[in-house]
Parts: sequence; structure tokens; C-alpha cells
Amino acid sequence: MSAAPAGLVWRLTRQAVRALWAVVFVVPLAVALVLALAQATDASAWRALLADPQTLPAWRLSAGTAVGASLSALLMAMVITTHLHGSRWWPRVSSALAPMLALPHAAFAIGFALLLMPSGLVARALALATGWIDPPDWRSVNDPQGLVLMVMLALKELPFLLWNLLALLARPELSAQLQRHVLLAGTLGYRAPALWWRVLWPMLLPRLVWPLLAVLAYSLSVVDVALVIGPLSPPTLAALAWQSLLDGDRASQALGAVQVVVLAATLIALVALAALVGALWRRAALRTATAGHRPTAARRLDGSSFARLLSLAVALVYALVALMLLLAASAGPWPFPALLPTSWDALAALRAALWPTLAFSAALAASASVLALVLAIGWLEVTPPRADAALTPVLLAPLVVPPLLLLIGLYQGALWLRLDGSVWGLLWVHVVVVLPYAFIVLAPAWRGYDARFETTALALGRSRLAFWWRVKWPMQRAPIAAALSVGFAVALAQYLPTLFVGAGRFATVTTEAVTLSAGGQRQSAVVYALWQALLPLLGFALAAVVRHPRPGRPPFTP
Amino acid sequence: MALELVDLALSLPQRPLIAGLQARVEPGEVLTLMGESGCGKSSLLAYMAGSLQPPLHATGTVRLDGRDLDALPIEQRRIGLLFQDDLLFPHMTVQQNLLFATPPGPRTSRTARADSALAEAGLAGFGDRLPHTLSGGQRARVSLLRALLAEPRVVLLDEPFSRLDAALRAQMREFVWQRLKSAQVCALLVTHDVADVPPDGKVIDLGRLRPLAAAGADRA
Repeated sequence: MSAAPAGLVWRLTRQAVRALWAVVFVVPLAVALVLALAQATDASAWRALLADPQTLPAWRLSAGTAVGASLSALLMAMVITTHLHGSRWWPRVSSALAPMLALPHAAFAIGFALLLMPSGLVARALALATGWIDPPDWRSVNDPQGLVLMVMLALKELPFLLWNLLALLARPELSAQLQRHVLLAGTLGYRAPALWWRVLWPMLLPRLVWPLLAVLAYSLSVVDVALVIGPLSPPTLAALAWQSLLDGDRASQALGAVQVVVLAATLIALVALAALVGALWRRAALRTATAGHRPTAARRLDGSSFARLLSLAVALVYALVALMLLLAASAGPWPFPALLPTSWDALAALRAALWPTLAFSAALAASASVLALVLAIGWLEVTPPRADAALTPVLLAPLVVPPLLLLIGLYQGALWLRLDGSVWGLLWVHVVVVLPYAFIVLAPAWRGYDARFETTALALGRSRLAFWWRVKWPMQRAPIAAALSVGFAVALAQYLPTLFVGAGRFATVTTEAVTLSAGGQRQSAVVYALWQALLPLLGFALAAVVRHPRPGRPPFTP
Repeated sequence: MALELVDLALSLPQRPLIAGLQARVEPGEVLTLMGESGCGKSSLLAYMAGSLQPPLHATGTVRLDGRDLDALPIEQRRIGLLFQDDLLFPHMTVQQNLLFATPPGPRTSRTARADSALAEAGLAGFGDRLPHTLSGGQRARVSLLRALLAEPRVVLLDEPFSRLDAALRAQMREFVWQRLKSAQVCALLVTHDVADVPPDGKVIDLGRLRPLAAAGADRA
């Protein structure tokens, strides 16, 4: 028996949700991209780009760090998964991911810089052994080759890739099958790692295209992290474009738009290259798989120990970064080579001057995440499965379009709607950025929901609204809480939209942290970076409480 | 090359499931282990394959040609496995699935072996097809061919017919028994369906091997 026929209220709800989506997301997104590309049609801007001696080295840096970081993150994720999936280490890996993901990129970059800089914790620890009195003459942060930026991006993207892998491998249809594939391959003479590299990765990687694309796009066009830890002269192309766009001069802004278009073209070229390399690799893996050779004991490296060491090393870096943020935020004077501050200023992170920025950041992020959640649930409730599948790439577009390109368009849109510099414009642009993340978190739970619950509720004479309110949404409290906390973290970490669409009128913990850090005031920046890390953690902690109801209490009471 | 099960026992913490299983399986012979759901049939096979997971615990010896299988890692036991699902790798063609199992050697002879196995199974010309384009019965046959091409000494069959429809099940049983006999490998089948038992095959009812404690616990 099918569900009850749609009534007037239901039809109106569907139309309203679609209209809201069109007004808030789809039309602005399309217009934004057209406007951004239109800005880049200025021939003189292209001539300026070609004449600028910084263009080529900056482009090389961007492409090099993006490819290096993405490949390193992917390789590390593959090594860890290959050797630890199914072992007693795998649950530990999965439980370590949440705090790593919750740490925003900018906060991580600031903490990482504080670790590695000449007067950082690493140099202070080495000074214990070497007897250094002054900080060493290192270019360990803002190095001209961009190596530190690349390593930092690889470390920060690794948990994201592992999280996606974890979600993929935990799917019921895949999880049991994988275990039996490993057993079956064992009986055919192959150890699990051989099966992973020859068979399972070629099978699984095509299912990770979206996260991989997101990592590549992010690494190529990231600005805030590049300002904190990346090369300075020349900077990456994204940072160069950002400098051009911030300039009030129209010619500079047109140059910035052109630089962003070059970044987008680079992304397309890299994706095409990655597709080609991926196809060749799959073919080579298949050839190896069908050659029949089984690795002998003598040729086996102890991959499992290496994977465990790698996981521990990554966890240690995150722990040190968090420790560094805490130490630096509560340190008084800290002369080199003292390993710990000589005096403490424990209340620095609670100074009254911080509170307005903190409150505004939290309110903006909370509002954006709630609005994005409402829109995402609305979409998932009213969109027929075929339209949902067909339009999913549009919804996920902001994840893979270089943020600067999107931002130029959104800014033009905000100008046109006279929303630039207003809190409403700021909120709107945050919702656009947060929506795909809320959608990614919610979609699997909504798409996998057993439709018979609805049929049963309607057959029992309850309205669709009563079913949603009393049955479905309480059952979905875990993904709802996750979407809210992820949305909150994403909104809070936005740097470019806040500065650009907010016209510099609004300060958030992220804009303050990045601006101060890029200006060389790392000690001051670190207090904001700490809050930038703590606020999402609070969000995730709250979500964990909501998603696990108290013992003895039913999860929902219809 | 006989398979011997010596005093096998299987238990969960504080709950014995099977005790005192003794059996000998000659090459080309199929021993059927029958029992109700949850009695530990599949776990016994997992133990023999070397993949038994805690909290299940097994004791006893599995010998092949007098050699203790316990001493060998899974990949050296030369055991073939057949499950309810065919578990063919979905991104590999039928031939690539078979070549994955075929022992190393010159490419042409390995390909010829795979092709001839397909032809004998009535699947000539199917080598370039992907698994999802085959019917359930065809996939099941390819799965058995893959297990046999690895030249196993023992084949463990874990309710391999239970997902097939009735007509296909009869055909598949005949195909499997014939192939196992001609390959002269020892085989262990677990099932709860009497119809699955091969003609002239030996049967052990695991229900009769249940320790008294477990039987008592069930009655309580």
C-alpha cells in the first residue's frame, strides 16, 4: 500500500522548499559562477597576469603543494587502512578522527607553525641536547618551497579521507563482503595487504572521487592556511589572487579574478590528469592481480608496524599542536630556549575584549548551521529519488569549486543585492558554504531510511507532519546532531567569505586568528586559534550528548 | 591426501557448542556437517580456514596428510572456500577473477586453463563479461571454478546453495559434486538442508555432538 495522497499542505511545503533552495542556493550559485567568469574576461588583466614575474612560480607552488599534499594524504590513508582495517587498531583510528576533524585548518596551521618555527617547541626541545642559546636560523615556516604548507595540508586532509573511508567501509553491504573477500583471498594464497593493493583499492577508489576532489580543490586554492604557513615571496597563486582581490583598484580585482580562473583551470587539468593516472594505475593493479604471483615471506615488509607507527606519529603531531595552542595561549613571557613559559597568563584566553568576537562567531556559525540543516532536511524530504540523484552534483559543487571563484561570484551577487557588508549577506554566504556539508552528513541516513515506517504511521491515521515530528526526526537525531555540529565547525572556520562579503566589518575568531598570524603576531593569534578549535569541539561534544540519550530513557517518545 | 578432524571442540565463553568431533574425509569425498542455526557449523569452517574470531574458541586438530593445519597461516593452507555469495570481484571480468586464483606461470597457459575451465562449465565466451552481467547460477559456477583453479587440497562449502532458487539449486549441486570428485579434493559442506547432502556422502549431525551443558542450557 502506498502512502496517503499528497494534500494541499504537503504540495505547498514541497513548493516552498524548492523555492527556498532556488533562492538561497542554486540560482545564486549559478549566477555567482557566471559573474566570476565574466570578471575574468578583461584582456588587460590577462596581459598583467602574463607580465607578472610572480605568476609562474606562484602557480608552480600551488600546483606542487596541492598535488603533493593530496597524494601524501591519500597514500597515508591507504597505508593505514590496508594494514589496520579489521585489526584491533581500527576502532582506535576511528575514535581519534573526531577531535582531529574538529580542529580547524587555520588553528592547526597556527599551532603547527608554533611547533616548527625557529623559536618553536621543536627547536626548544632540540636546544636541550644541542645547547642552543638563540633560535636556529631555520626557514621552517613560510619556507619558499612550500614544503611545510604541503606537509601541514597532508596531515590535515588525512583525517578527512580516513573519515570518508571509514564511512564507506562501515556500510553494511560492504563491510561483511570485505571481511569475506579478505578470507577468500587468504585461502587463495594472498595476504590481506596484497588483496588491498591489487584488488580492493582499485575497486574502492572510484567511490571516493568526491572526497578526493574536495581535498585537491581545497589544497589548490586554500588562502588562510597559506597566509599563515605558506611561502611569502612569491606566495601561492591563491594567496596572490586574494591579495589582488582585496585591492580597491579595479585592475587589481580583475587580475585577481583572472588568477582565480587560472586556479580553476589548473584544478580541471589536475582532475583530468588524476583520472588518467588512476586509470593506468587500476590497469597495472589488475595486471598484477591476475599474474598469479603471491608475495613470499622474504619479500614481505612489516607494513602493519609501519601503519601503526604512522598513525601514532600523526596522532602525536595533533596532540603537540593542541598542546602548543594551549601553552602559547596561556603563556606569559617565554624566552628561548626555555622549554616551558617562564610565567603564565592563564586568563589570557578569557579576556573581556574577546567576548564580543566569540559571541558573534558562535551566533553566526550556529545560525548558518541551523539554516543549512533546515534546507538540507527540506531537500531530502521533498525531492524524488531520481531528481535527488541527478542534482546531487549541483549541491556538492561548492566543495569542489575553488572557494575563491565561488566567493568572487557570491560577492558580486551580494553587491547586486546590496547585501555586502551586512550581517544578512554574511549569513547567506555562510549558509551556501555550509549546506553541502550538512547535506553530505544527512543524506546517507535519509536515503537509507526505511520508507515502511512512514507507510505504517500514515496507515495508523497519523498525518505526515506527526510522522516527521514524532517518528522520523527523533529517529534521525544522531545524523541531525552530526550535521549541526559539522555545519557549525565549517561555518566557524570561514575566513574568505567573512572578510570579503562582510567587507571587513565583522570580526570572527577565524579572521582575527589568521590576520594576526599572517601579520607575524602569532602569540596574539593563538588565543583566537584556541577558541577557533574549542568552539567546534564544544559543538561536537553537545552533539554527542544529544545523539546518545540518557540510559533508561527511550530515544524518542511518539 | 586425507583430511582428519581430531577431537574438535567449539565454544563461546561459558557456553560449549560442539565437542568431540572426529572425522576423516578422503579425496573426492564430501563430508556434510548438519545442524540448526547457531550450532557452530560455519564457525567450525572458519576455524579450519584459520579465521575464527573471538569470543569463539576452538580446540582440537585438523590434519591434512598428517600435517597439522593450525601451524600454517591461511594463505599456505591451500583451502578453497565457497560461500552463499559468489564474492566475485565486481570490477574484474570473469577471466580476471579466475586468473587471480590461478597459480603463477606463463600467461598463455594460465589463460588457457581459465578458458578451458569456463568451457567445461558451459561458460565458454563468458571470460570478458563482468560478474554483474551473469545470472546467479553462472556466478556461482564461476565462484567454484575460481576456488578450484587455485588447486586447493580441501574445499569448505558454507551453505553454498541456500541463495539459489530451487531449480538452479539442483543443477548447481550436481555441478559442484562432479567438479569436486574430478578434482579429487576433500570437501566439507555445512548446511541445514538435507537435500544438499551429496549422494553416497557422509553426514554428521552436529546436534548430537552438543555437550550436555549446552543442551541443558537450551532446555532451561
